[in-house]
Amino acid sequence: MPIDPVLRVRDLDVAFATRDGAVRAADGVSFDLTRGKTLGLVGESGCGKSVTALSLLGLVPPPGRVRGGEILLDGRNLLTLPDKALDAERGRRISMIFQEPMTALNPVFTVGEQIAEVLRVHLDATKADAWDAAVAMMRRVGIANAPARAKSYPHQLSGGMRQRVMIAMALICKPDVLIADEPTTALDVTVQAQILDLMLEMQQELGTAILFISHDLGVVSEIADEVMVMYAGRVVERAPADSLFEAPLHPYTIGLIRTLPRMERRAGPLPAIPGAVPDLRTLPPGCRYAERCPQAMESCHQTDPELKGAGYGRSVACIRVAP
Amino acid sequence: MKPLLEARDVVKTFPIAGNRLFGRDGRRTHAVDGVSFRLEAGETLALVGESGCGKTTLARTAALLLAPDAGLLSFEGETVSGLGRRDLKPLRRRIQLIYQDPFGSLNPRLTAGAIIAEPLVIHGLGTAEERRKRVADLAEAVGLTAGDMERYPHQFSGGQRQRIAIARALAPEPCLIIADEPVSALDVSIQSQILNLLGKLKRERGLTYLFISHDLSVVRHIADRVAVMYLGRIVETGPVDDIFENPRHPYTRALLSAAPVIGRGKRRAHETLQGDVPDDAAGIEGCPFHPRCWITRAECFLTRPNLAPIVGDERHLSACHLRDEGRI
Repeated sequence: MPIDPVLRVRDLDVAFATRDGAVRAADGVSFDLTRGKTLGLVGESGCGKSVTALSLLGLVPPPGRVRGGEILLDGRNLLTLPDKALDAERGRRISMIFQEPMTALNPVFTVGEQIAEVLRVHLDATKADAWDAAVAMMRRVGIANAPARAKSYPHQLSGGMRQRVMIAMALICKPDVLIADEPTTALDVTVQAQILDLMLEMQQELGTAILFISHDLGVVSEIADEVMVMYAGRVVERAPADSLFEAPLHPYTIGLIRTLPRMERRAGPLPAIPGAVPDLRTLPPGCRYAERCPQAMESCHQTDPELKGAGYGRSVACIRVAP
Repeated sequence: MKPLLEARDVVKTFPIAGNRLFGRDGRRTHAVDGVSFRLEAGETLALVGESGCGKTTLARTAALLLAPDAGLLSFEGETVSGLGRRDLKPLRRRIQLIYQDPFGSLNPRLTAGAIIAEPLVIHGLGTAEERRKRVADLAEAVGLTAGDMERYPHQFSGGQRQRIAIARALAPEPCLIIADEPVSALDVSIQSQILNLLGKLKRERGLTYLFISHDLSVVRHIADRVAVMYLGRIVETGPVDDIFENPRHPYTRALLSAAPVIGRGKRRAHETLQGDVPDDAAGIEGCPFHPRCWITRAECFLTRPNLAPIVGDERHLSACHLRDEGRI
């Protein structure tokens, strides 16, 4: 039985206007999010993972602009919705949590007021009902002594508590889709583990589809069902999490996994990926990874590879692997 | 043999803001609370722990940038705690720092060449010509070109900036490098380049590293010995393989099991440590870890455990009453 995705993204094209012309930050990105499942999106700075996330909510900052593609939520294209209609979806059916909850929360309102506001805006709840629901939600995300903590201001809470508040705020309307952009990167490792456990638990309870963006392959490996790897604005590989980490296909994914120091064992020098990510303003004509790729052939420098199926639910953009 | 650096019962406190609107009420927080360790020449000791555990304060104290409130610090066998500014200056040349953020730690108005030469100028080392030669040698050693030396920090990527910071640290020929999260701000592919560079420089120059990191994979890769800190104290220390394969403190166990591992598959319910780190150990009777610990017994609530060797291994120390029991 085919699984019906909640959110479909097709050929997303996000560009930033610069003096040197348009820079394509996300270039032909397509994926589906499924109820109750997590898609991990990994890549290094500037690969386009955050811009992809922001575009789903219509939040790409100028001079960036979504130039093309479709973002279909239950078949409706969010990119062509009027602002007002989009506002009704944001925070209710799609919501987002960010890396640094301190900057995402308003410092002059209590966290309880901020969680309650979401309900008042989207579900027209009364002030008292919204407050009660906010406190209940705070309890649900594991905040001890929720009625008192609801009256705290963001600066009075620890980083882990603030991220729990963000999660409470993001999930209070039981959205279909949650976008999490590096939600645990600013947290300590034991707190990170608590937040990951909480996200998995809430997902099981609410059936939320999660897009989980991170630079940390270990974290993604522990939370994602499927993983998508981006490089220089393109998706270079997509696969079920187990097979991606066990047997990566794209030379970039292989390089990334090999280059990481491992906690389980000690090795000699790390197999480094030479060079750096290409400048998006002056991309080479062929494969964007060819410059750094140990397996690059002559034709890799000329032919821009497409993302192609490679069997077992996997796809890869490499002419050596999927010609 | 005398250790290169030795700390004995080092304490460093800071005043904390009180409830009064202005000024302080005299309370102090113990950032480093009676820490002892030895750093042998040529080894890499990693300090690990979560935010607020005191690892950065301890590093800055070891770098002679902060004077300890109490305790003894010695460098190359000489007591250095209590020395004045003038006596510290020649020692500071021998101990250099690399910071986490290669964006904030380089002067944006100086060229890379001038940044690397600055410690030489400050310490009055060499003639202008000799300095130029030394900068060129250092640039090559860290993988930068002669042309790079004319450019400004904003013209470099994060990884290249960290190379500049490393060259600057090496300029006055230190024997000890204190690196505070030197690869945490870098992308994965750049992180391994910098770790390899630090390894190569250590072998070539016989350096000693005090390496601060929250990333256990990085620590496993680079350290010879590890010291785990919690609430301003070392709770466990020992050779790196012993710490990772046979942790003898429940906090170390919790850190190791919380760290994500690639390819282990989706999370199941782990032994996830509950709660947050308290602000200060001051109000906690007994073992400072007991409020979060899952294997406590009566004495844990009453007496603070000392950092002492486990049975059968003089080099592996734990500050846990149950250090020799199988339950950790």
